[in-house]
Amino acid sequence: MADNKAKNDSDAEMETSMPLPQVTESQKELASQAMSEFDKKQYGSCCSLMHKLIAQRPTDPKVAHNKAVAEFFQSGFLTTDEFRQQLSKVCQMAHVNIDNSESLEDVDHSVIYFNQAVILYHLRQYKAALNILDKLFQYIEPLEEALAKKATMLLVELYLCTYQPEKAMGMVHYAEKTVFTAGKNAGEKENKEDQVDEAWKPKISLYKTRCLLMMKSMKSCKREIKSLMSTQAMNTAVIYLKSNFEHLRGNHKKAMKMLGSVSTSDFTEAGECMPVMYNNNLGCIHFHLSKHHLGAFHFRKAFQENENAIKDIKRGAEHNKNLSGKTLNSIGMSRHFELLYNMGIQLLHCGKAMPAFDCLVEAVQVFRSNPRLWLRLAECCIMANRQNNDEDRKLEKRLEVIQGSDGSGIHRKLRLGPGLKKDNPSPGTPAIPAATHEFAALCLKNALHLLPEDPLTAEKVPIEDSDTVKITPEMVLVTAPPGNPLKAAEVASLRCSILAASAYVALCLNDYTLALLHAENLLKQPKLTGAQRYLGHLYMAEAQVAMDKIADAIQLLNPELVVDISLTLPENKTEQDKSERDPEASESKGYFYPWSPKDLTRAKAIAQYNLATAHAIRGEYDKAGQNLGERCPPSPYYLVAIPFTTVQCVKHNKIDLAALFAHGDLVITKQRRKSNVDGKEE
Amino acid sequence: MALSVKELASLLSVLSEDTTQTQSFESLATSFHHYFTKQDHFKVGSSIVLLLQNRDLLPHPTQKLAAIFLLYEMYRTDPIAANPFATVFVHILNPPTENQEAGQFDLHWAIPAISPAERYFLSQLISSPTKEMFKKTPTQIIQLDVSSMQNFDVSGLQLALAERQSEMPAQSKSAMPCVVPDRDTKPSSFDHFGKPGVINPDVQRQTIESLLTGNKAPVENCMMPEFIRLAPPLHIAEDELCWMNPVDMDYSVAWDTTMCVSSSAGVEIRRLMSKAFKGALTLQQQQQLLDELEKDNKLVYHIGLTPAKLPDLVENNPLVAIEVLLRLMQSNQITEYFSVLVNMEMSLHSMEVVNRLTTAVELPSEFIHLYISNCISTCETIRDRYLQNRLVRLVCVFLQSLIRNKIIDVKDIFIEVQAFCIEFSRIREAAGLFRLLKSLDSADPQNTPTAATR
Repeated sequence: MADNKAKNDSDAEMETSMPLPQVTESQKELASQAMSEFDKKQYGSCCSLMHKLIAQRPTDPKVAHNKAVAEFFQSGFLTTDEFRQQLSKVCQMAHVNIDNSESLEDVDHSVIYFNQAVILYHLRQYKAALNILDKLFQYIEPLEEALAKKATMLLVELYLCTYQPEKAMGMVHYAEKTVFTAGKNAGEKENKEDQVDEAWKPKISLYKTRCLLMMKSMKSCKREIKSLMSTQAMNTAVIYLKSNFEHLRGNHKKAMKMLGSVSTSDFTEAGECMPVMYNNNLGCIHFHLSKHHLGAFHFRKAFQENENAIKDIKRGAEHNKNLSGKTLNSIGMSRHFELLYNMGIQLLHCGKAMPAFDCLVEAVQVFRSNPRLWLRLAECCIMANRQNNDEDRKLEKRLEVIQGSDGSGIHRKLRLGPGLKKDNPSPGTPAIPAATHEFAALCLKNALHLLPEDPLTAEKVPIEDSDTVKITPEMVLVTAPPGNPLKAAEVASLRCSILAASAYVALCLNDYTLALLHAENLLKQPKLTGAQRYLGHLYMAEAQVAMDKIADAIQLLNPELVVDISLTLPENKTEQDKSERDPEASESKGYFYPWSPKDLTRAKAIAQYNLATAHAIRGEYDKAGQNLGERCPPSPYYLVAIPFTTVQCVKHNKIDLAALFAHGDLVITKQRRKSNVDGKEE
Repeated sequence: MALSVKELASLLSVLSEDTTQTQSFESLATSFHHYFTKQDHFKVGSSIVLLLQNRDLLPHPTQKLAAIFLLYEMYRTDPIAANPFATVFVHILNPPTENQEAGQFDLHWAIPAISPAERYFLSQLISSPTKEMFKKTPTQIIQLDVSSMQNFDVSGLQLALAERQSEMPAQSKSAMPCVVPDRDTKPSSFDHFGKPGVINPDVQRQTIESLLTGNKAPVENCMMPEFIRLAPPLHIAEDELCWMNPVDMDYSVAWDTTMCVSSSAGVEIRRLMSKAFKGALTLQQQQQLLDELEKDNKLVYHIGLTPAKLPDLVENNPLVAIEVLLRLMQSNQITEYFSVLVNMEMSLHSMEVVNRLTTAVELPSEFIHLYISNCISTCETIRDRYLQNRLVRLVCVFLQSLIRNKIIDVKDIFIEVQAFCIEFSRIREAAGLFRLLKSLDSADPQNTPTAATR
């Protein structure tokens, strides 16, 4: 009885999972014919064969699947919408739920999974595609060989698209060992263990190079590229990779030459628009040569090419359906947002804060997880509100010191300017993007959250095991799409920049507690540039004064403490590294945008001026005067912010204002003359 | 903050030379309150202070005195220390110039010194105002002879103010007005030619208007010592921009090559497997299954076994489960099968499978440990006494076999297993296991076998 029941059960299951009748010989014949037609790329006859077959086996999901595939090929990949529909029907027939199942249930369904992932890849839904392929990969061993190869390659590609070079590299290594091992027959396995199939070698090498470039491990990359160049020096992809490599090494001229050597046909086989890439890459090179306007020109050109390419495709597509009408390859072709990103950063370095802001605010909606992009947005806001630090020294600003006069005769009054501070209350909430300090604060908060936890604060809990501190997570990469992921050193320097900007923005928002916090945090960072340390002291002092800790601030402002204001970390590269680089590429590193104060004397003068300010706030006018007067090196800043301190001191010393201004001019002309002389001597 | 032109006119009418000379303080106050309400008081007060700071704008002593009186009058109902302009009174009574050498310098915002009579009036106003005082006119006060009278003590007020100010940050106390007198010796009109220093009412009125009225009037502003706040430099990143490389691969959809290539064996095996998940197979069926698996290496991946289904297979057909798992050892999913296995409900069958697996292949030791602790906790929590005894016996035998076959290192699980043995020492097998543990551990002198005898 029980047996009987079990039998019924299993029969019921049979009906749902395998309702298929046995395959007859003629059907088998038909199927193999269709497949050979497909292999011969005779999609028309293949389609008609499949029609015959499906008439005989209407419930076979595999037949339905292959029919859809054949038709898709037949259409020249134009009918993506239809294909997706067919694919989901096949899923229903085969009782497959791709999105929700935890893993692949049956190896028979692997092709469906793969094709779904392919479509998602072309739609640039990389995460979703990766999700599906990960499930498929669990069953990579039993997969039919050709499919296994395709799947691993796509998996590597997807890891690269999602900026996970280590995973991609791991997959490449895995593939080399297993999937692409030539002669995988069980008997020969031992003999040819590590022999990679010759046909796939160059492709694997290409992937490796891309991984290495993304990981910025230049040495292994060099080796890989060398072997690539020796075998296929005419391949466009290889030349571009080589150019990218030279660019990363700082050999910009060489990189440019490489780019120029490629004949630019408009589209690659994979449907990418070459002129867009060419111009974009030229833009990158010019950015690094600090030729920002030329860079912006190239990016703009890339932009136009991109627009044109899309327009062409759209014109070709008469159907009004979502995806159909474009070939599968060209659906995800547009590089609009990457270009916006590049353009925004370039414009920022041109000093055009507002256009840069507009570009980056668009880009950040796509590349939300990039902490550096958030910092750049904040920098746009900062620059929009203060073009540069020399702003105060402009004539118009200096003239603002005296706003004008009222009355005449004994009633004549001078009106002095309100000083440097400007509180422009921002309209609306900071959540609506606008180039304000409020929005900048938000951006910086995002940027900080996106970074891995600060090792300094993270360590606080387990203080005892100081050994673990040394094991810094050197290999942890922080993604920064669409750029290459950040290495540990880059993360550290990014954190410093974010903290400095955060402290500055907090000061501008009169949030002194937060400013103090950020400045303290900044000064605690292990690797600071001279400029950052200097700024950290200034910000901290200003916050402390506002919080009535003037004595501490005065300590910090000692101009003798200012010893270094360089913008980059001192190079601690090994000799080997240096020799590796081309001698002509020495200009590559360094800053891309000028910052003022440029020299130590000015930096000291500013610190001293701020010191005088702190003294004046404490009511120590004599000390303030001393700092402004004799000991102060002649600096234009001496006059800029004449406001309070100077006037006060001047009054003490019984010099009247007119004399002071005369004196100020004198100082300036002296300074100018001096620098002229210096310039000549050099 | 700035006054309107009309308000200014009202204020100046109250403070005009004529009015202040002839009217009593009382009527001055009445006419002031006629023009201004409480909300206006602070801005009017600020304007009055600016006028006081410029001697040419309130030139007559009566005007000045009336102005000082108005500062008092506006906040008369509050305690004097709460008057926002109380500092002005202190300033007038102790002018900062007094402390320095006389005439050494002249701070431009200092309110000019007042006469002893005025001082007397002000200090009385602060400390103990009387009704008669308000009946007098400013002129009368100025003419008062106060040489014989004693000044009132205002140190209380000073103290209160100092206390309040000490709570404020230094920065908020360090501003100065931005109006600076800058006398011009040039005559302002033909009438004043050759008479420098003479007040010109028209110009005076104009000046006052431009200082006190309008948008951004100077009276609103002040100047503070300010820091030069440098914006940080742009972040320097070496590899920030997005470089584009062409992708040399064509990722295209794939053809399913397994279409209609039906293997009859596969179908039969799948049917058997789906049966095996639900109930025990006959010996014949089992043999058929194992034979087919033997024939085709990859077949094991096609039989529809997922980690989730493994427990069913183990419970119903442990022998099949063992064979299948052994064939799946190469799969990259094998760890998932293991973790399902060690976490499944403990039973004779699961134990059998684990035991067989441990002898056939080298299992990761953490899996075994996990399984053992799983077993022990199952034994401890089970309610049914009979079942418990049975399970404990099973676990003990299982552990003994593991130990004897040297599949696990006793040291790793010693404490856990010892506790288990003691808890179930009533069961013979547990005591046996304990003795085994002890005998292995006898080299260690610390463990005396007292617990065993209990």
